[in-house]
Amino acid sequence: MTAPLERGADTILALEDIHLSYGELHVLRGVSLTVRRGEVVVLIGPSGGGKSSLLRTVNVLQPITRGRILLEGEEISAGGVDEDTIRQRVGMVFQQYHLFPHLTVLKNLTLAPRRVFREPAAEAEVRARELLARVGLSEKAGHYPDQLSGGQQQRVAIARALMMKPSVMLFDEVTSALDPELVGEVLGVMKDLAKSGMTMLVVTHEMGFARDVGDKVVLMAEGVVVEEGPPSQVLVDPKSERTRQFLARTQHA
Amino acid sequence: MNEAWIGPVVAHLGRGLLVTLWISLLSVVVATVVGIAVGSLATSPKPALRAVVRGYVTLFRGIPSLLILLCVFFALPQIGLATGPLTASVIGLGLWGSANIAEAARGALFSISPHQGEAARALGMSARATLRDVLLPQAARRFLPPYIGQLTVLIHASALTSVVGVSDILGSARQMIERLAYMGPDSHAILIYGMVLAVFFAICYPLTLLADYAERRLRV
Ligand SMILES: Nc1ncnc2c1ncn2[C@@H]1O[C@H](COP(=O)(O)OP(=O)(O)O)[C@@H](O)[C@H]1O
Ligand SMILES: [Mg+2]
Repeated sequence: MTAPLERGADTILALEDIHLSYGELHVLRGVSLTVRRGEVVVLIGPSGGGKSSLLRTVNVLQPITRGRILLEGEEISAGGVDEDTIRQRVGMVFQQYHLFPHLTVLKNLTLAPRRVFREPAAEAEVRARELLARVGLSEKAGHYPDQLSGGQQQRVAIARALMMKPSVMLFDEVTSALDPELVGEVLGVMKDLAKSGMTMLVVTHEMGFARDVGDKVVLMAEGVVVEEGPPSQVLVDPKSERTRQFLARTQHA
Repeated sequence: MNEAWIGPVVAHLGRGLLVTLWISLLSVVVATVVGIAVGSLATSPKPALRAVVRGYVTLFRGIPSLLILLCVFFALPQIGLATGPLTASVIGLGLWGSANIAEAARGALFSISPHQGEAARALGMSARATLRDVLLPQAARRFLPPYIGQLTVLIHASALTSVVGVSDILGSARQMIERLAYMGPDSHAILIYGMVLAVFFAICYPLTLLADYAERRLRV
């Protein structure tokens, strides 16, 4: 038995009273949330509740209307920040993988570090092969994305994000587009990543993952945090009626 | 049997071939530049600009190339622009070809999902690197097969320019056939047109192969 990794108490990500509107549509209505170093925070909730929007604000793909976002203590929601630098520190994995179809798996991994860090090709390739081994895809380095299954593509996408050595990884329903038999291999990679101490903010409908891997579960609906706490409490003995409704519906789905 | 006609005919066809190549090259350049520019405008956020592009493409794709050639040849002098048959041909073929190339460029640009750009930006890549390493290479791959196909079509269409008096290879062939028919018992039409046919095939077949190759290499 290895000792459980010590999770430091320092805050990697702090969201303070985040508001976001798309025109008339008020999607985030004062969301506050903290993610500590090494912590896995699982975001659950009904579709349309603003979970994807929240992740996009953290990766500054979506500017917020009100509130503050702090990444390792530094405010990233203010004007004048260097968005590219922030995005390097925040890894993001999407539901539909979005690999670059014209590049091999290896090049998918090395492109961004080579362009952004000016990392020499040879060094980037060594790191890429290490990460591919870690996600179980060593033999696929020379393949193109369309030659891989969905589960394999998603594991490549995770490795691609890890190439930037992010401080925190965001996952947006990364198993929702997969055939059921491929979900496990992707969740397995995420579980290993969590065990290695990566800080993660994970939107998912996989309650098993939330229960087994999550340090904290946050239920979001209609743009607000309805309930948050340890999985054993939120998933088993929820305080709010809204959470109970949601859990009842997902269990029957 | 007297074979003395062959030398002058081949020499004349050779001069015609140079004209054909020259017209093809110039109209390909015009069509490519105008086509890519117009096709890129189709991605503009301004609806009015997109409507103009639609109109341009629909108009020129809806008219036979021969008609455009005749219109340019006879209409330009009316508005005070005296052009020779060669210039008129290049303008006519270039405009006609640009519509098809614009359509190919528009299609290629729109076929790239906006998520591709977002995925690159999410990795911290700059807008410029995203365009250069992610968006344009993919758009170019989609663009290339229809583009090469259009080059073949343009080269074929260059044979129409003899109608407005250009001595391209087909025009030269017809002149020789008429002369031979006037002078002797045999116009050698089949043989001479056969030579023209072989020349067009020799130019266009490799392009077809190239288009097929580009098509196969395409990764979606
Ligand atoms: N770019 C956008 N423009 C306008 N409305 C959007 C946009 N993205 C999301 N929305 C709307 O915002 C709401 C929240 O969406 P989203 O953040 O995707 O929720 P979730 O991920 O929880 O399903 C939905 O009503 C959705 O239609
Ligand atoms: Mg979502």
